[in-house]
Amino acid sequence: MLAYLVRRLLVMIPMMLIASFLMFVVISFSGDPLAGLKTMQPPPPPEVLHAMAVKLRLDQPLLDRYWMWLSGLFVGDFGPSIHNIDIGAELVKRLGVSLRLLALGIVLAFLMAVAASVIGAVLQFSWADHIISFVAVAMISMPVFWLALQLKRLAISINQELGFRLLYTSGDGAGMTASTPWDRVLLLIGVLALPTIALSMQAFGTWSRYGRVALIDALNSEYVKLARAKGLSETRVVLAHGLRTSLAPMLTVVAAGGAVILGESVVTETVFQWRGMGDLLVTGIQNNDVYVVLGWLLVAGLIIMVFNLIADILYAVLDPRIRYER
Amino acid sequence: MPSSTPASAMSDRAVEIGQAPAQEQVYRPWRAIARKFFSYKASVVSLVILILIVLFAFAGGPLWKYSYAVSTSDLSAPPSWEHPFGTDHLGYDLMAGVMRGTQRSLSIAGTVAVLATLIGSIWGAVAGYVGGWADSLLMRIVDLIMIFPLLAVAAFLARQSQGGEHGWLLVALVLATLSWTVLARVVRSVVLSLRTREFVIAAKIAGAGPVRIIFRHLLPNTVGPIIVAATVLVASAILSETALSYLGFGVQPPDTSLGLLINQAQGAISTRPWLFYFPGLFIILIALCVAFIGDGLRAALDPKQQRK
Repeated sequence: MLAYLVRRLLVMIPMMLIASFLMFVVISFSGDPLAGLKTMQPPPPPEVLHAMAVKLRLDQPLLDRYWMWLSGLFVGDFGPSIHNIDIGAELVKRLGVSLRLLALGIVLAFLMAVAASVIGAVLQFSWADHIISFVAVAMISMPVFWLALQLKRLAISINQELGFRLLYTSGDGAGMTASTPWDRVLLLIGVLALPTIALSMQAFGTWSRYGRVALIDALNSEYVKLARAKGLSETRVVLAHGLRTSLAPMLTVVAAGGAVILGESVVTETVFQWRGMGDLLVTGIQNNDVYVVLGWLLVAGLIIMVFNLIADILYAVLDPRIRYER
Repeated sequence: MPSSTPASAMSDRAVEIGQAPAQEQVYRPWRAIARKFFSYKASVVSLVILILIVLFAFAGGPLWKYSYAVSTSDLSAPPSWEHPFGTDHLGYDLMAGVMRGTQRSLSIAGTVAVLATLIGSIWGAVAGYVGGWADSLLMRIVDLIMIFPLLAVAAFLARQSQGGEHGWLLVALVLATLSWTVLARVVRSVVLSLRTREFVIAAKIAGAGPVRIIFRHLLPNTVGPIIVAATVLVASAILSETALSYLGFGVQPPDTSLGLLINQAQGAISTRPWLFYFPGLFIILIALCVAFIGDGLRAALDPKQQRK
């Protein structure tokens, strides 16, 4: 297992290098970072444009630029920014904000998906199964920003009913303070509740559909028949024998959904006006701040690779047939 | 003529896969598949609704008395007979906007599905059939593309190339170049299981080259999984496009799309809620219909799956 882990981590290095190079080339060729500046009215003097081009290393050949960027990364320098943002520091700060949402959203989606698959598989073709299946498809079909806006609307009326602000419809909680520990918990719930629910719903829909099928397959298999024949209780059969093996194929789907849910977190954060990774990317793209976008994609790629790695490790833990030794 | 019973549908399929699809033996299992598809009520209803939405979007625009681009004197009017979906604070008729937006969103999703299916199927078939280092190389490229969140990369690329009359086409091209990877994986796995089958070996012995084997023998036999994956692609393309437009990187004004309509309406959540109900409803309806049609197709094309 340890050898496998080390090998996987080592493979990530060349993967990330190639990915970063591809990303750099695609982004460099896709447009002129100074296009916005050049079309400004009145046009800035040529010296300013030239100074900006030098600052963004546009006077250097592409390969040199890539090398400067790559070698800078090792000393924490993520490259120059049009708006003089310290990209490295900003990424670290924003990542802290966004990882909370991402982790909570994924965990919530996964737990709900597991619960839904158990109900759907055990009570196959019952009305509960039909309702859950329909809700899952509806959630898959619902754009995350639309759901988020609906939740905001709902939260406004809940707050009005309660007479105080329980659910926050904008902001990530930065700058808000609470005096007592109880208030702090309430604030944390109030800030995180809506974005987490909005982010998790689509993933819940997708994962529960796969989970249901996987669990039905597992419950029809020979070893579950044996477990039943041995006289184990139905709860134990379903949870210890069926669910355990059906979680493995489900994890594959979860791992494959990492990039999707990361993209959706950008939308969710935008709706709830968080100052997290999503806002950094959106303003970076709006300002054509290429090194911000590059840094963002690098971090996103790393997150997804680590996410896949965790899924593979859990896979081995859950399914004893899977061994990663050669 | 295949009968409509599931058992014969199964044997049709078996015959089709088991024997080489020779030129003179024209066998059509499609009739049985169509019958099976039409036995799924949810899929048929979805198909009808989707056709109605397409008609509404493409034929409705020219017929409807208001244009999405011309404002009226009715400001912030709630839904009424005059304006069935209401108007916004500048007096634009929302039904005209939704028609135009649906048209754009559907065009983008359709273009993405066609392009991505073409690229992905050929890519996956080549990787699966040729194998060896070419397979590794092609599939590592797929892995690399899949590392990055599609929405983020698409937002950057679409922003670089946005604007103009054909802005929607550029959005579609960007989404297509990023979303074919799923198709490549699906087709490759099917081709891997087909490449050692008798009909492929027979074709090879008969002197068929790799190009002919891939296009004449392998790809036709992966049509089922391709169609199913393509429907998933349509639904995800609709959602990606609306998300892009919502963020402001997709379709640009004065043109409009369902995502852009919601973006423009979000300031009026509590004062003019209709502005964002109707575009949202259409996105959900389209994605739901496509999903149910996909389920029906999956069941109809899969010989193993029988009606309970």
